[in-house]
Amino acid sequence: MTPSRRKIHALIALAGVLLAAGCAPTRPPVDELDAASRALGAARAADAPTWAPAEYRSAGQRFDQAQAAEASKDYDAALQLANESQVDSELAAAKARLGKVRQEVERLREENAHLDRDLTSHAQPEDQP
Amino acid sequence: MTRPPARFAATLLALGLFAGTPAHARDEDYQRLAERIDALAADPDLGTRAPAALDQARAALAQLKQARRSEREHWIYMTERRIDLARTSAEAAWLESQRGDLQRENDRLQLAIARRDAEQARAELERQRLQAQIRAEEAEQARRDAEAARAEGEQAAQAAQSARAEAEQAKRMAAAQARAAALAKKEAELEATLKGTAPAKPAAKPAAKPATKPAAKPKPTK
Repeated sequence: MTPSRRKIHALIALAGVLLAAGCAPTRPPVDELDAASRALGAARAADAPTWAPAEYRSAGQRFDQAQAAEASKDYDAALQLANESQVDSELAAAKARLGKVRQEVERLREENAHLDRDLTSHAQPEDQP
Repeated sequence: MTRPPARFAATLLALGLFAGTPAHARDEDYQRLAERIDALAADPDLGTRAPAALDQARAALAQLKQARRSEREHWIYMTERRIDLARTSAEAAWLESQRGDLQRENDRLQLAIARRDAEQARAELERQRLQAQIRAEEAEQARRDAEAARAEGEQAAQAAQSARAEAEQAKRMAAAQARAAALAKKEAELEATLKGTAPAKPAAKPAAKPATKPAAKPKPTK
């Protein structure tokens, strides 16, 4: 083997090691799966299934996929899916909060308009001589 | 001439290094997501409502910039979701602020209506009190009128009774006078019979003949 060929082989080996270090799974994403599970529970508690069904369903599906990936030792996929599930759950909870407050704002607007009409309609006859 | 194994190895190395290369800053997805974040941050109503969520969206975008090709889809998804989350949180915070304003307005209106209702109740009470007072005064006036009418009626009855009594008395006096006249006439007739002369005058004036025997004093009739 010529020196140049040895260098090329060494470079290939180095690149392989670097790729393996950068891409290969390191450990099961236990913390991320726990966080995703908690976020999913919080979204459920915030009535996300009612107010943000699509996001909540996506969070649940990705959490299931993350668990399956972890079980098959595909830790990279498990990590990504757990993170995606968590952000889906957070978004679902936020949309539930938004939906509730929007409903409350609409209710208050209607009630205030009704009260204002009531006040105005009863005030006018008294103003007349 | 290049040797085939060496060329193959160089190609593999180039491909491997390219796979690990971070996404370019001028990536279209990166630009699109960066513009979404900038638009949210510049929104006058929402830009400052969810700073932590916006920071997380920026952090995800930074990860996308550094991500390997195999991670790009993941970080695009994460950045999209983080931006959605930041916007949703900002909208919720904005609406919660509006809800506070609306609740204060609601409290003000409720208070105004409660005051109005209380004022109306007081006015109604005063109106009813005045009506009751008017009715009481009318009843008192009616009672006084009835009392006066009753007294007037009693007086009239009493006057009528007096008139009846006077008439009765006059009648009795007339009857007594008639009997007295009849007795005087009879006395005169008897006296004339005793003297053998006809009576010249009726016995209406028995006192005009003091020389003769005085006539019997008429007894009062009962």
